[in-house]
Amino acid sequence: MSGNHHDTSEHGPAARVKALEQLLIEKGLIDSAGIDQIVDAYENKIGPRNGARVVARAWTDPAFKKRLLTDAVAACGELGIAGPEGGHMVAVENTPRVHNMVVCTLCSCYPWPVLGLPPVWYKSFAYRSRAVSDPRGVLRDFGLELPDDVEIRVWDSSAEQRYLVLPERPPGTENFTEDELAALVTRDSMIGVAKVAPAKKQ
Amino acid sequence: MSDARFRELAAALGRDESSVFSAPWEARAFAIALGLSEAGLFTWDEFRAQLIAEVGASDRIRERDGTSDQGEYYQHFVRALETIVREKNIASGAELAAKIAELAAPAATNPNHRD
Repeated sequence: MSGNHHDTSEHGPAARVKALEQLLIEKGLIDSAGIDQIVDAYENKIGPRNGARVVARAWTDPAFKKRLLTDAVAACGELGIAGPEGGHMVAVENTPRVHNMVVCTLCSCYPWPVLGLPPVWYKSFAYRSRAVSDPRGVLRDFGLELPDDVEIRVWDSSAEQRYLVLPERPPGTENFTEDELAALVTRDSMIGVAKVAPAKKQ
Repeated sequence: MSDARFRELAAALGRDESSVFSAPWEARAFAIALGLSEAGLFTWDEFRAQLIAEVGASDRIRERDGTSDQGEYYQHFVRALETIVREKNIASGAELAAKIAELAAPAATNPNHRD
């Protein structure tokens, strides 16, 4: 293997990343401001609130929902939601009989434009190794007990395909506005490890 | 039957749920990787292949030893980033090692440095 003469693994990741950033800046390949911008975008701007807008629109606009389920990339684009890792998105719809949940068994593929970066558990060995073989057990660990007659479909993400779960609209929300609906939609419900809980209108 | 390892992980890492990154270096590593790929130095798919190799190697060790996941994802991420930077001749291992040493000993390279 090449590079063993200069093995950096004895150092902690913080020191190695700092050195790498510094080195790449000196080579003129990146700049600090650009790195800061990316961090800020993924910490504060690109996240599950985007996906929640998509879900709320789908709940209130049947034509949009149809477009979302046939071409999620184009439908999200209508709401101005696009970006890295957003080119191969597919939306899958939960119904009273079908529950969808998403995993990436190999690493961490995830639809960034609508959900941001994945949570720690999504990238964990425990979730990745069990979601396909024991989805019901995993959902139970998340506190979601599904009736036996509900079919669970597990979608394994890849470079070619990322998934957004369109959760069921909770009962009692008939008079909610689109914004009020969006506020109910959680990240976990769009990964498919939770349902959207009904909430009282204030 | 529930997997105790999964519940432990979820509980142990639950505190991080509100933030995307658990430490600043994770955020920097992610942004460097995305920045380099946006600059055209490699594609994100090429980086992903490297990441899958790192994650897969660690998964095989876990399967063999039955050890639990401590949330090391970004450590795999950093190794994958270092590898692709070397393989694409963006920077050599020697350059990186030298820079780590330089930053680890600021007093030796900066005569004005005082503790």
